[in-house]
Amino acid sequence: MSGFGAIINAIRATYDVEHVTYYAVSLGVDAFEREDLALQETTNKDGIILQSGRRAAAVSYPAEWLHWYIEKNYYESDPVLIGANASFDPVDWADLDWDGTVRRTFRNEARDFGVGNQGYTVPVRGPGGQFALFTINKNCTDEVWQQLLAECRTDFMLLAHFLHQRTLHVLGLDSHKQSRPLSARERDAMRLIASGMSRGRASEALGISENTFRVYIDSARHKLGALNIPNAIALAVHRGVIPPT
Amino acid sequence: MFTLVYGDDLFDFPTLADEMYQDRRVQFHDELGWDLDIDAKGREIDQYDLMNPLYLILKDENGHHLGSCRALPTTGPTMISDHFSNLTDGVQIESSLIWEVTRVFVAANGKRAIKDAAALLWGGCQVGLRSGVEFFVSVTPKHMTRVFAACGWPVEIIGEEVTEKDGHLCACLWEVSQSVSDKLAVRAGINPDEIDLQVHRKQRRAPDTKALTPAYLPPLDPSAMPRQAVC
Repeated sequence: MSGFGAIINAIRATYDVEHVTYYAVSLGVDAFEREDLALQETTNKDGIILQSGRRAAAVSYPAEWLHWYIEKNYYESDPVLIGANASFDPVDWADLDWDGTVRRTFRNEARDFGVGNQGYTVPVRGPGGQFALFTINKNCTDEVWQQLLAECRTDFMLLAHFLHQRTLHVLGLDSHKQSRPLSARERDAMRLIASGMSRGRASEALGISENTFRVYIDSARHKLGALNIPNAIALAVHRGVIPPT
Repeated sequence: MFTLVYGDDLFDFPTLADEMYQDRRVQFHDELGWDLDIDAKGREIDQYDLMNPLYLILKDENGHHLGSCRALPTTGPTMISDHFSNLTDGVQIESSLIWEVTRVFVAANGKRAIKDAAALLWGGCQVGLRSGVEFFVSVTPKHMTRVFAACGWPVEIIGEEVTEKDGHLCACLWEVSQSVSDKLAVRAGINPDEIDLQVHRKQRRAPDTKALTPAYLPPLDPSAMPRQAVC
């Protein structure tokens, strides 16, 4: 997998959006004990901006906006950070609280810097106090925006967790996760779908409903750190979880 | 009609929260006889309530608790994964596209109960839809699966067991879809366009974080970097 810059740009191109941001507000307690991470206090080779090993970001916003954001100390008043804090349901920026001079100014400035008039943020909670935000921004009408969200909400949920998993992996913070094996049932389900069997026939073979089968397959996909089923099959074969067909 | 609120923000609704926890005690502890912790105020609060779940609370005309449920992402600890994987073929269900919904409660108000249950399920379905979630999983007493079916959103039972301690329990799943949502709205007799389902986010504070200082950012010299890509 190439660096995060390439992933961020691929997401921008795929969904035709202005900006894509992954920001880990906290990398969790495990990161606190990693002195090597604390020393990587710049953009690392994978394109992740690290701070003291506790926070990480991969963004496409103009550098000017990031500098301005920090200079104005917007961490304390950013309605997105505040509104999404500790949550797990995605939020459309239009539904956030923009009342008050500071917040309105922030919004206008963000637009001036080219952030875009629309935003959608997917929060990701992880073990040990991990918390990250995945955001897309676009300059468009409400109609175009609602159409995009209607079609792509599930993709954005997947991408948010994918980027978080990748970040933990790249920084070596997922050793606990990797050690959790798939259950026998998940391996069976993956093996059948990898053999080219349809979901209907595979679920029949296992004696479970098709939706139960979908839940097991999706569970396996997530544990393998994959974005979709073909990707999950490839990873499962690569890691020897299922035999090659 | 609804209050949609995270556990950490429930202190903004102290009366409603107490009613919810007390109604849960009546149903799950007093009536079903589950071995649950009850506090001095008669509230049933468990470990998952302390994990900042998202509560969907249905209120009556006077703002009192009528029904509720709570959601947690299956990417973190869940009841079904921690205690009931024997009902899911040993699979610990874990995905960003699957949430766990538990402690589903609807007040027994005779004929009105099914309508209320449909309203509650409609709200849950809507929140799932707009989040991009594909399935809810749950562990629920068997009799509730009949209530869900009567509302028009039948669960699929993954596995079930009867124990002396907890009675007849089902691990089950709902598929989240627009067609189900439409059906539930009709059954509940509500107009989706008129319902406020915003998450309560007032009084929130920013995460405890210091700013990324400029030293960690790329230089501003435009020739040194692409205009936009910081990474």
